[in-house]
Amino acid sequence: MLKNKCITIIDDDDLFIYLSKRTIEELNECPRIQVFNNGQDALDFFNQDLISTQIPSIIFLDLAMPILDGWQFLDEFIPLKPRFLKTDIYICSSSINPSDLERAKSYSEVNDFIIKPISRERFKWLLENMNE
Amino acid sequence: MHSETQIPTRSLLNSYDAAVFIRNLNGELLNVNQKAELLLGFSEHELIHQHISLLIPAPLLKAEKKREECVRNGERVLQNETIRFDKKQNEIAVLSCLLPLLSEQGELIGFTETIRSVANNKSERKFQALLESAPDAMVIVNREGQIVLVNAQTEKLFGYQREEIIGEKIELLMPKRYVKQHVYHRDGYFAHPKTRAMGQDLELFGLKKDGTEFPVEISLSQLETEEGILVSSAIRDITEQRAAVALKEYTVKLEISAQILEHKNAQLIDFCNIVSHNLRAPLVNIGMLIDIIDSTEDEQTKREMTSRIRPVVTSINDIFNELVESVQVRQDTEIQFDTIDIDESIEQLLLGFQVQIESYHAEIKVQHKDLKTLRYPSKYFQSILGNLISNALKYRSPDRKPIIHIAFEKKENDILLSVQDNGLGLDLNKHKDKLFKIRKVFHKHPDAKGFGLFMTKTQVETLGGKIWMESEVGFGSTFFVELKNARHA
Repeated sequence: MLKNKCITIIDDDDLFIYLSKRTIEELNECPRIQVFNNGQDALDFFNQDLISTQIPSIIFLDLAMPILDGWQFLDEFIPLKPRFLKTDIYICSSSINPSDLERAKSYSEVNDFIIKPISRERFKWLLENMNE
Repeated sequence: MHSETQIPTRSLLNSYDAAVFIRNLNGELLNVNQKAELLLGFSEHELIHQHISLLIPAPLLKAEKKREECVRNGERVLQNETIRFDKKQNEIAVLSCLLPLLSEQGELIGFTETIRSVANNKSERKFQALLESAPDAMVIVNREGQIVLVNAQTEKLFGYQREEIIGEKIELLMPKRYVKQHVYHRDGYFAHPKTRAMGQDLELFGLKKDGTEFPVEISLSQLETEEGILVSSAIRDITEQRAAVALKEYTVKLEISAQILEHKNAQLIDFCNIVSHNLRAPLVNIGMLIDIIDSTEDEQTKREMTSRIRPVVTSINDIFNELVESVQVRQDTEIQFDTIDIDESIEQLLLGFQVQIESYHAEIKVQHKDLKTLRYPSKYFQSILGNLISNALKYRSPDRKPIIHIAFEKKENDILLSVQDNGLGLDLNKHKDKLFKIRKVFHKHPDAKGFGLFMTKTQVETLGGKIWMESEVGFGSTFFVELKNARHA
C-alpha cells in the first residue's frame, strides 16, 4: 500500500538519516526514501520535471544545514508548492529555541515542528496518516 | 510734676532715623528732634509746649485718643498709616508708631511717637516687594556679615522664620566646614564688591535649620544704602539640576550598559544555538541508538549500534572543547599586549600550513610597508591570522592556484589587517547574518567545522575591534580585521 509512496529527508546529519531510515523501513512496507544533505540539493531536484511517484508525501526538513538551510529552502520551495499539493512538510530539528518554533508557525505550508528525536510511535502515526 | 530729666534729650532723639515727638499725658509736646522739624517744617520752639492736636487733622483726633488708650492698657500699638499736618497745614501721609514714655518708677508719664513719611517708606516697601518676588532666596548682609533682610523664599529654603535669622551671621546658613573660609572671603568681597557668581567651579552647599545640606548656586551683588554697603546674595537650590545632570550621566551609562548587554545577549543566543543545534543533535542520536539497542534481540544489530555511539561521543567532545575555548576568550578580561614582529610571526604561523601550501601550490604574499611590528596579544594574533589563512586555503577554487594576500595598514591607533584570497567566494546576501556564527558552514567541504570565524570574531571584539568581509562567488573573499590600538604609541 505504501510502496508507491515517497518520503524525503533533508538533513545533513548522516547518523540521524540512517536511524530514521531504519525506523521507517522497520515499520512498514518500505516507501521509497529519498535523502538530500542540504536544502540546495533538494531544491535542485524539486525544480526538475518530476513524475508523480517522485513527488514526496512527506518532507522531513532539518533547519541547520550548510549551503541552503531549512528556512532558505522553505522560502524557495513555497512558490513551487502548487505542484506539491499532496506533500506534507515537517520541520524536524534538534533546535529547542522558541524563536525557531515561532518562525515555523509563520509558514502555513508547514504541517508541524518536530523536535528531534522522532519516536517510533510518531513515525508510525505520520506514515499511517499520509496523504493518499 | 515730673522732672524734665526723665524726658530723652534732644541729642539722643537726633540719633534716631525717624521724626520723634514726645508728649505728656495731656498731649503737650515736651520734646522733638531735628527730623521732626524737617518733616513738618516747624522749628523746635514752634512745637514745644504746643498741643499735639496742632499736628493732627480734627477727624483723626478720636482715633489718636484710642491709640493712646491702647498704649495705656499696655497693648502693643502697631505702626499705623495716618495723616499729620505740616506747618502750612498740608496733609502728609506718614507711618506713625506710638510708644509709652515711662518714669523711672515704671509709671506712664507720656508717649513717644515716631513718624516716617510714607514716601520714603514706599520705596522701601517696593524694595521689599521686589525682594519677595525674586525667584531665589535673597539674603542681604551687612559689612559685619549679619543678615539684615531676607525674603520668604529664604524662610522656605532654609526652614527658618525671618525673626530667627535677622541679625545672625550669614555663616549660620552654611555647613560648618565652609565657615572659616567664608569669613575670609566675605571680608575680601566687601573690600572689592562687584556682581559675580560665588565660588565659581566650586560645589556650594546651604545648611537648613534641620541640619540637612543641599547644593546651591549663589550670585552676589552689592547695594549702596544709607547704612553703608550691603551685600545681597541670591541663593538657588540646585538639587534638581544636579539630579537632572546626574540622571543624564546615568542615562548615558545605562545606554552603554544596554549596548554591552545587547551584545552579550546576542552571544548568549549564539550559545543557545550551539547547545540546541550542535550539542543536542548528537545527544539525540545517542538516544536513538540506545533505543534501538534496547528494542532488538539481535546481537549483530546491538554491536553495530554500539559501534556507532563512539564517533558521536567523540564529536560531542570536540564541540565541547571548542565551546570551552571560546568561553575562555570571553573571560580573558586582562589580556597582555605583546610586541609582535610581523614577518617573524607570520613565518612561524605558516610552518603549520606547510603541508597544505606545498600540496596546493599556494602562494602567500605579505605586505606591510614600513610597519615592522605591532602590539597585540600574541596568542590572539596567531589565532586570528591562522584562522583566516586556514579559511582561505580551505575554500580555494579547484580551478586556479591559490594566492593569498596578507596586508597591514595603519589607521590612526589601529591596524587594519586584510586577508584576500582568490577562492570560491560566497554569496553574502544569503549568508551575511550567519557568517561569524558558530558552526555555520557554507560550503560542501569535509573540513568545514564552522568554529573558526566565530572564535576569530570573539577575539577581535573582545579587544574592541571589528571584523567584516567582502566576497564574490567565483572570485574570492577578503576578510578585514581591525586590530584595535595595535600601533605603537
